[in-house]
Amino acid sequence: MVHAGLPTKGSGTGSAPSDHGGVGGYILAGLIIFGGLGAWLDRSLGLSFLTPLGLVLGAVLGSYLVYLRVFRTTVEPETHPRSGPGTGHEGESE
Amino acid sequence: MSGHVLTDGGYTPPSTHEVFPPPFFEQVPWLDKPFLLVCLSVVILVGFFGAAVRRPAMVPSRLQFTGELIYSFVRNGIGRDVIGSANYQRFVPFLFALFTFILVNNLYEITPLISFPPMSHIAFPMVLALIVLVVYNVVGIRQQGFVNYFKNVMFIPGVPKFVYPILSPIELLTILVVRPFTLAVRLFANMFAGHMLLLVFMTGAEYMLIEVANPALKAAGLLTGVVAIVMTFFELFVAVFQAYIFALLTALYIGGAVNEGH
Repeated sequence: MVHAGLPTKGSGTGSAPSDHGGVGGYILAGLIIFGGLGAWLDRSLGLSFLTPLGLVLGAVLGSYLVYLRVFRTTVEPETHPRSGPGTGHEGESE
Repeated sequence: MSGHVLTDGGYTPPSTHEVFPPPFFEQVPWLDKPFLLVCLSVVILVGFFGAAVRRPAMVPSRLQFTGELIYSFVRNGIGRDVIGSANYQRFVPFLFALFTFILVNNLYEITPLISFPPMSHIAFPMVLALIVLVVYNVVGIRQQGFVNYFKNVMFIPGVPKFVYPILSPIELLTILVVRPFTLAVRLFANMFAGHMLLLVFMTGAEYMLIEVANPALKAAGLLTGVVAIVMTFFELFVAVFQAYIFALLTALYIGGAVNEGH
């Protein structure tokens, strides 16, 4: 089986919705964590540039996770002789 | 000119108060329109699908056909295609209940005489999203074991080790907080905004057509009325689509929890 947290692009209807649910979620989580970290550091250290830095970093890391979780796994099944891109779900999607 | 006419106190635009109708009786504050509508939706669903399967026939009646159409859409289109044919069957009842429940409640929005979407109260989507949160996490833990589940969620293979402290918190926050949050807000915001949109166009058209003497405004009111009708059909699409998206994302999350680690 495909070991993605989200279905791969080849899994029938999974393509667009996985972008919908996955992309927004990971990037939002990255923004919350690293933006929050930046804001907390800003307040405790008396600085002001760490919040935007954290937000950018969070967005970048969230996007990186989207790449790892959603897009990288689309390549993986092709290296398996057993399962092509369309057979992530036993070929029943179409 | 129209700006003056509309702001001189004659027309009161709809506000957020519209989604908080007062309770029917002062003494029973919880008994209000959204509450009754949600209860009614359960009665409608049980009645409809109960009638649809009462006397199943090889050549289905129109009612049975409709019921089976909706069921097979959820079963195959959402359940099997997204979760995968190996594990999807035990989740179909849950997905089906979610989809139909949200669908009926959303369709209230454009039903004449009701025209109110209970999902515009964030409490309802929130509870649904919390149920989804519990379901996919419990499913994942039962399928893979507690340690394995969180290990699979938090540690992606094939990434240098020093990245884990940075990425793992994001993953954990995503599955525990962000997913149910976005699920609830997506449904709530769509229904709330749709309701407001319809109210603005309908009350605006009503005011300009009936209350105002100015012929230019009457013409504008006519146009507004046409837009209100167009928007009603657009909201029909939104109502169905949001129910579909909610069920689909739920299936996606369950699929991720079930299939991980295979």
